[in-house]
Parts: sequence; C-alpha cells; structure tokens
Amino acid sequence: MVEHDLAWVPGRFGQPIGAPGLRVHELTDVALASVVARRGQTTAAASAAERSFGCTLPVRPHVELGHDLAFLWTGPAQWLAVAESATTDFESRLAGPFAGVAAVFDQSDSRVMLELEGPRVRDVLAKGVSIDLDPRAFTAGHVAATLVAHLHVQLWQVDDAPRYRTLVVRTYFGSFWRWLASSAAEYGGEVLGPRRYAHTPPAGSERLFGG
Amino acid sequence: MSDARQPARLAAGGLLDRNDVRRFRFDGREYVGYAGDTLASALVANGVRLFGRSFKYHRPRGLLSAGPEEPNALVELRSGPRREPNTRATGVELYDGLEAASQNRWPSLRFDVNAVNGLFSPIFVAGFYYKTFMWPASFWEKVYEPLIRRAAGLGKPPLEPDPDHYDKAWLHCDVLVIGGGPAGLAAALAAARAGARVVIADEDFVLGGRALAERRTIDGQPAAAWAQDVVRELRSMPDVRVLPRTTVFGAYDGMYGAVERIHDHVAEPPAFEPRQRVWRIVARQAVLAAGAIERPLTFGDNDRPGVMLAGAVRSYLNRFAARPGRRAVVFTDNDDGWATAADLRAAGAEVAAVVDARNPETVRELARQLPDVECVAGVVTRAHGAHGVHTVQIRTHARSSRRIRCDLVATSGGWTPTLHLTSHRGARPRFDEARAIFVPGDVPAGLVVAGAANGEFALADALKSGHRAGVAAADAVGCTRAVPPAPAGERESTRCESLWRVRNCSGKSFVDFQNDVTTNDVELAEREGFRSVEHLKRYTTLGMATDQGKTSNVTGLALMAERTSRSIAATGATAFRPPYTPVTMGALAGHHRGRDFRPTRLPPSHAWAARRGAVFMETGPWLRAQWFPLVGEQDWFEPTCREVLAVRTRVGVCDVSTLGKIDVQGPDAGAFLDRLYANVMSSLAVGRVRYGIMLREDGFVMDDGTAARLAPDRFVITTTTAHAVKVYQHMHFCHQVLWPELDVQFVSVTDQWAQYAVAGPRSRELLSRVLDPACDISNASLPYMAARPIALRDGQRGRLFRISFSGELAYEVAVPARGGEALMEALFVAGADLGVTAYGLEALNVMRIEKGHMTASELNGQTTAHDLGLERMLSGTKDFVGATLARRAHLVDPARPRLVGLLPVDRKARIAGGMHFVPQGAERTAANDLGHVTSAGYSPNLQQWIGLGLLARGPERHGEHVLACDPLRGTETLVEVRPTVFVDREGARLRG
Repeated sequence: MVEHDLAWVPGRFGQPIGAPGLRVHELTDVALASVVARRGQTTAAASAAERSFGCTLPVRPHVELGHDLAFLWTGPAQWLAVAESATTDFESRLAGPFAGVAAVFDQSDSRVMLELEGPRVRDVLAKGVSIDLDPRAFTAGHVAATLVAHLHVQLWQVDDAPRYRTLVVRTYFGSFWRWLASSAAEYGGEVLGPRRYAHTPPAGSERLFGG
Repeated sequence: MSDARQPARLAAGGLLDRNDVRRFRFDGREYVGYAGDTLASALVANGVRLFGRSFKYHRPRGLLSAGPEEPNALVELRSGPRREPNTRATGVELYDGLEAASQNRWPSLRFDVNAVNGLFSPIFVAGFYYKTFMWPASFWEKVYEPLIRRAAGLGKPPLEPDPDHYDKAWLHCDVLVIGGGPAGLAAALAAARAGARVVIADEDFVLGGRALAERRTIDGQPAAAWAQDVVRELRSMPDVRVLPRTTVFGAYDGMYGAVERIHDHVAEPPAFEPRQRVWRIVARQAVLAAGAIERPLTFGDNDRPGVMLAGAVRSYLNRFAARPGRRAVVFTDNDDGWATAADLRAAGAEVAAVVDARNPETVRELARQLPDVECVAGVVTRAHGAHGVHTVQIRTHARSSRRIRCDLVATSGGWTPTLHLTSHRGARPRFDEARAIFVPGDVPAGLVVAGAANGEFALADALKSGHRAGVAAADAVGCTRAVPPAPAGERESTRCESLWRVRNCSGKSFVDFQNDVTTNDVELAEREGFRSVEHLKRYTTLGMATDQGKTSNVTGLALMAERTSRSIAATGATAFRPPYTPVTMGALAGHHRGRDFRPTRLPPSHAWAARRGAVFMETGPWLRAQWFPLVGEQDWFEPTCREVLAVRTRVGVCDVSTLGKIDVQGPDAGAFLDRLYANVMSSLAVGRVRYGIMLREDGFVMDDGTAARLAPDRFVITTTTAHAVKVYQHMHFCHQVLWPELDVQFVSVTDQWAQYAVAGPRSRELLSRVLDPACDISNASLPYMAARPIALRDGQRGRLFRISFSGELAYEVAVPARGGEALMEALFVAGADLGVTAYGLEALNVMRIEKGHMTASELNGQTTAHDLGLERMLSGTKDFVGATLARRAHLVDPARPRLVGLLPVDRKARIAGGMHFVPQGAERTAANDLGHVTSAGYSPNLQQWIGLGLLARGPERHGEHVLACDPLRGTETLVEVRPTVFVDREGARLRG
C-alpha cells in the first residue's frame, strides 16, 4: 500500500505534476441546524420558512435558498438549515419562526463543510459516492444524503463548474479526508486555505446556491 | 523470414508493433517479444511449449488456450511483494522487464520430483483425500494437513504487504456491454448511436474478441480493422466509455462488478496511480456478449504439451503471428475446426491430417476445401511425448489404427456459450438438446444475451444479434435515435456433433486439466454413487480449480449423463458464481485496508490527548485515551492507579464525548421516553437528570443512560458508547413504526458536543474557575442529578450535568465540539495547582467497578433487570417496551446468574473477566458452572483486585466463597461474594 502523505494541511498532495485534478478547502464559520417538522406540520413549516426566510422547504433532495440561509433536504419532513455563523445562537434564531411547527437542533459543531472542485472532481467523488453525479442526473441545487467510505455525508452541487459541497461528521473527518486524499492522489490534489462560509441569496441568477 | 531470436514468429502479420521489442524472462531465461503479445504468445513465438506442471500428477503441461479459460499455463508473475501466483499466461500483456516463473515443480520444470505421483495414479483417484486421511483423527492437524498443504497448491503468495494501491469506483450508464467481440462492438455501437450512455468492457487489452483471431471480413474489411474502426468511433463519442483490460466478474442485485487492470501491464504502477480498480457498474440495461469457450476433445493423454484448442491455434497464428507448431494434426467434431487447418497452411505450417469424428460423408464434403491434406473420418486415441507431443495415434471409423508424426494437435469439441453472468443471481442456463449447448435460461430483467454467448456462433449472426440487442437496450431506456443497419459478416458453417469422449483409449483422458480430473474419475464418482452434478463436482473436484471448469464442466456433465443414461438436461448443471475469473482481494478492498479498513472516530480532545502522550485503544469506531503515562511509567498499571487516586483525592478530567447523545423534542417527548425507558421519565422536573434503562421487546436490558430535562418539551438523553447507534435506530423504529401518533422529534447530537467528566473532591472548585462567575454551581443551586445551561469565562455556552460515574463529586460539562479542545486546555491551566489529572478508560473502568456501575460487559444482551439488581426500576404504572416479556417467570427466576461484587480471598490473587464460577470442591466442568466474572480491575483504594460477576442466586450468596477458574489458562482463585459497591456505599461523596 502506498502510504501517501495524508495530512490535512494546505498545499499539493498526490500526483505533483500539472494542474491539480481536485481542489478542496474547508468552509468555516458556518451555522447548521436540523429542522424536523412537528407531526402533520410539514406544510405549516414550509409556510413559516417562506414567511421568515424567503424560501420554502424542499420536498425533494434539493437545496432552497433564502435571504440569508439555505435549507437542504435531508429526509422526509426534515432539513438542514445552513447559514453564516453569527454571534446570535442559530438555534434560537430559527426556533421562533418555527415555534409549534418544527423542532430545531443546533448542529453547527457536528459537521465539517468542504468545498470541492477541479477537472477531476466527479472522478474523485465516484470513488465513494454511489449515486450518479452525471449532469443529466445531478445538477446544481441537487443534494444527496449518502454514504462515502462507510460514512454519512451530505453532498450538494453548487454550480455547473462543477463545485460540490460536503458535510461530514466532525469526529469522522480524519477518515473521510484519508479517503478523499487517497482517491484524488492519482489526479493530483490541492488543499487550499480555509474560507469563511458566505451565503449567496438567489437574486434570480442561474445559480441555485452559491458561495 | 522469422526473427532468429523468436524461432516460431511468423515473418509478417499479427496485431503487433514489431518496432516495440519487449524483453522478458521466464524461469530465468531471457526472451524477447513485441508490444501486442501476451506472455503466452511471446513464449509460443519463442518455441516454448512447456509452461507448468499439473496440480495432482505434476504432469508437464503446455498452453491449452489463448484466453481466460486457460487451465494449464499458470505462472508466478513478478517477484518480491508484487509476486502474483496462478496468473494465466494467456491473459498477461507482455511488458518490458516482465519476470515469470513456472509453478508446481521442483527442482525444475523439465525434471520434477513429484511427477512420481503420476506413477501412483491408481491411488490418487477421486476421493483419495477423503478415503486416505481419515484416521487416526489425531493425525489430521499435525501430519496430514501440513503434508497435503505442502504438496498441494500451485503458486505461492507473497508474505509481504502489497505495495500497490487499489481503487474502487462507481460507474453509471444506460447500457453496459459486456464483451468487446463482434457482437459486443455491434451492440455498443448501435446503443451509442441511438443516444444511450454506454460502457463497454472487455477483459482483453485490445477490443475485438474473435475478430482479432480470425481471417474474416466485416462490412468488406478485415475483421480486426473493422473492430479498430468501431472502437475509434466509440471513443470519439462523449457518452461512451470504453474499458479495455476490464473483466465484468459478477452480476449482483442492481449492479455489476468489474475489475480494470489499469497498470498490470507495466512492472510497477506510476506513482500515485492505482494498480487495479474495481468498478461497481449501475446499468439500466446490459448486453452480455461474452462469447463462447471452445471445449477440448477427450482422448488418451490429451494433456500433452502441444495439444491445443483449435481456436487458440488460430489466435496465435492470426493475432500474434506466432506458430504453435510446424506439423499439425487437427482433431475436430465440428466444421469450425477445419478453419484451423486452413489457417495453419496459410501460415506456412504443415497439416499432417485432419481427423474428424463425424461420419465419412461429412468429412469427404469438407475435405474438398483441403485437396492435398489427409482427411480422416475417425478419432485421435492418444498423444505421445511427455514434454511435448511428437506423435498421435489415430483410429479411423473403419477401425484401422496408425501413428502420425506431429508437434501440434489442434483440437475442437465445439463451443460453449459463456453464460456465467446470467446465472450469478440464481438462474441456471438451459440445455438445448438439439444443438448440444447451454443457452440462457431465465435471464434477469434488464439483461440481454447476444452473439456466441447466445449460441449465435456464425459471425454474421453474432453481428446481427449484437446490433439488435444494442438497439433494444437503448430503446428500453428511451434512446430511440435511428441507427444504420447492422454490420454484415460471413455466415460460416457451424455444424457440430459433440463427441464427449473418445472410447477405448490408453493413457489418461483429462476432462479438467487444472484439477487433473480424468474420465476415470467421473466414472468412479458414478460407481460410488456421486451422481448429482453437485456431488460429482465435490467428489472429483471437477470444475473447482481457479478456472472454475470453463473448459471442462460441460464435458464432465455429458459423461455423467452418459454413465447414468440420462439426458444432459436431466443431469443438471452446477451454478456459476462470481467472480468469472479470480479477482485480487486487494482490489475488492480498495482504499479500505490497514488503518483505513474501517473509519476511525476521534473524540474532540483527541489531538490534545495525543500531545499529552496518551495511549489509545479502539472501542468500536472510537479511538479513546486508555491512560496518560508520565515519564518513567512503564505499563498500564502505574498510570491507571495514579489516575484513580487522583480522582478519588483531588480532581480528574476524562473525555466522555463518545457516549451517544440524543436530543428529544416535542409535546410528546415525555410520553415517548416513558414508553422507551423501563422507568418513568415524564415526571422529571426541568433541570433534573434521571438514570434510566431501556429493555428490548424480549424483556432483556438493551442499554442504560441518563435523561436530562432541558425544557418541558425537551430532553437530552445519553446512551452507552457501545450501543449509541442501536438505541438511535431503536428509537426511530419505535417512533416510525409503533407510535407514529406521537408528536416527537429527535436527532443525534453526539457530534455536536464535547463532553468531559470532571470528577473528584475538587471538581467544583476547578469548574468554578472556568465558568462565568455568574454561574452558581453550589450544592444548593446545582445538587446531585441536576442540569443547567452554563457560560464559560470565554463566553462559550454549554451545559453542566451533575452526574457521576466515578462515585465522586462529579460533573459532566458539555460545550459545542469546536470549543472542546480549548475547554480541555482551560481546565488544565486552571487546575494546575489542584493537581488536575487526565484519566483514561482504564481508570474510568476501575472506578466504575469500585462503584458497581455497569457497562457493556454487564449489559451484554443476555441480562435482565432482575439479573442486574435493577428490578425496582421496572415501572408498574405504565407500559414500556419489554414490560410484558420482562415478567416471564424464567426471567425473574432467582436461580439465574445475578450481579454480585467479587473479592479474592487471597488479597494478592488476581481475577480476570471471563473466569467461571464453580462451587468450592466441585469439578471444573460446564455442568457445575454458576456464572462468570464480567469485569475485573485492580483497585488502588482497596489495594487488591476486585470484580463484578453474574452468579447463580448471586445476591443470596453474599458472604459465601466460590471458586473463580480459568480453565483456558489453568488459573483459579477463591473469591468472596459480596454486594456490588466497594467504595462509599452510602454515596456520601457524590452528594457533597
């Protein structure tokens, strides 16, 4: 077995020649919360979201963009709210608008968010993601709750570059990174410095979800 | 003129790059070949006939085939940690510097000591091992098995770890075409032109299949050139993926498994690149165009080097420009064999005779094609020449016998469709009696069989059938663009009258070459009653070698049918199972080997603990600190005792983030927990914590933990580390299936929180130094079993639970995980003068045994609340999961093993988990077993070993002595049975 240097530090890894096939960086300062509709309140929760955040709650595996947050579908009647972290507690910020229609659980610290791009990003992801990422099956705005290398991962496509984002369970991040680095090694990869997560509102552009 | 260094290389032709000369070694001798060669074809070109020794009789063997079915020419490839045994020389693409060695011979390939087995062959018949190594039984492990192991087996695997990287990936397509011969290429082209996303895979490094090996034309051009053009067109299409060197080895539910040998054709893969990649292919439709495999004819000593399949001879001549012999006899029972005679002559070889087993009229008719060759209606009865055939014995139908001199016997018993993948999901092929071939039986939905695999052997038919299948597959996925008509080829004659064996031969007539199974073995199996094909296979080992009987199964079956006077269809067929050809385990593992075998989970303080020199242990997926040795501390004992005493006298900190944490919200949260836990949770006041147990439906204890009420409609519960996932699943099952009417929502927040136990008499003092001074944590404000939100001095918000696993004044402090490391550092800065000590799992374990607390050792899935002394927790006022079955008479039987504390009577004696109890003076037998020690540890407070155990009628035996014995290691010690709590029985410390 080739023990590549798999440390999660900025810089090139794997095949060192030519442009890297995969570029990856962490998105920091992100606020996350699980939102689960109360019994029979899915529609009411969607209306609450529309009223307070400017977007509905997706009913299929998609991302919906609001004024200052996004909702990722994670399962029937449950979502992950994603926003820039603020001094105010994300959970309390959501709890008010969703009072009586959905339960809110802060998950800001439970996941690590990565952004992945590069000419071979689909080939790299295909080594762990069992779903079809071909543009005719999965495009910007699609989200998947899936398994990668035995780990639960949320994956969504940001734009047609294509750029993808993943959320990985924080305590398993080391194993996920070892899988990612070893999978990208043949194409060459580069870890870029972390960037602050920035929400991009929809603004009628082609891009469903940007940053 | 042939190359002097490659005496059997034809002067022209073949799909070779003669400017790209490749040097290689076989058994230490240097040879040269060309790019485009296989190891087998290069050795043929070099006049090598001997490739290896057979498995049982160690008979000299040469090439039988030119493909994946090869049973004889198995070699060890490469050396050192990359050594690869049992590699088929026919499938090895020649590269510069290749090293290969023959197998199963000592001291050399030409002279092999174990060939003496052949002389004793009457002994080594089918069932030899079953019959011989029966008794005495004690000989099996020490004598027979090592003996058999040394003699058996072909190559030797390397003992060093594989230095290469293997990869796994998913691939999605509309149409998967398996096989790149004429039918497969026609299918892929049609499907791709219709607009489908197509993947075409072929095990060979050049696509084309038999088109590369035959002197035929397709659409008016040489078949090989046509194949090249099609591949070029396919590669130019954006939605087509052409995968050469890729074997689709298995058909599974919803996907196909394939292995691509990306860098097997070089000595070492380039840095960072995988050697092989396993593809999991999800295809909406698949076309199986795997072709067919030719059967050898069965006659005396038909395994002599130089006896080769007729189609393989054509492959060597036409594709590789290598002549396997100078003077050939062709022995066939079908028209296809005759093509070999023509090709041999075209390549300048002499054809001494064509022997056709069919009737004289057929032979006379076919003989017109070869006016100056002797054509015999008859059979070959024996091949002579141990290290290479030099003569054959033939017998005409008119019963006249004679010998013909030759160095090559091209033999054809007809073709068997390659149907393995149709049968991997359970269906079996069907036998077509009229044509004497297996054809697809119940083919799974979404799979179409085309070409020779479907019994359509003639080139024109194969092309048409492939084209049709490609169009249909594309159509099935909605790709309906019009496509040009099917390519046209010749419709050659494919008549065949299967001759399953030549009767009245001397010598051995081999059916399965790789496992040395002869016609006699099949007969013996029948005589001894092993008439089912499954028994035939296991008794004789027919078809059980690495080639899985690709050239032998049908013949073996036909012989059994003949012996038992049944039809072949009635005799049955053994199932094909994946993989089609052997797949390296490393490729199946991919990235997941060594420390990546499974994911590792690191608690929030991991990096901090690593810097402090912690020794880690695996607990499930977690890596947890076991102890924190100081300089000079040698083993586990000293640090563990030091850590325990530090907690009991001062203060210690332990990362307990691994416990499962589930946030439960909603108006029915309390009602939901009441149904899950055996005890009542809904009565808990906000800001209070309660210990609870959950039962399984069958009444046994599933898990224990705490529930803290954060708000009227919100609880956070904990589970044990070991059962976190199981409990979460159980809760979802109960909510989604049993009680969907409850308005409750819950998610796992295990990863959201870093949670540390801060325990010991100085724990309150330590915590007050890191908490915001506004947080009052006095005993009055935060008594035992209370919980509240907190803020740290740095502004971080969190939760504080006054709970204790150690039995000391203790807290668990929780902060969002990203702040976990900072909190740990803050505690150690703030507590330096208090002697704050990091403690690990060992110390945690000792302290919980001292307090009689349970872990997975006691909550082992076989214990009830009664067994564990928790019967009072089973609420009588409400229903809960397991309530009814927990009251079964035998689950509350006092005679069951129940939890007790244990102290060795000899204070210096050690006890260990797993020791069994027997009454004093009783024999150490299972009949006298009274239970076992579940946990044991050295208590530095009591200065002796203590333990917990499950002992029959345990609580009634307090004060008694029983013997704890370990028959495995031969140790035993007398222990005193006592209550489970060893330290602070009144619990004064935790309430202080």
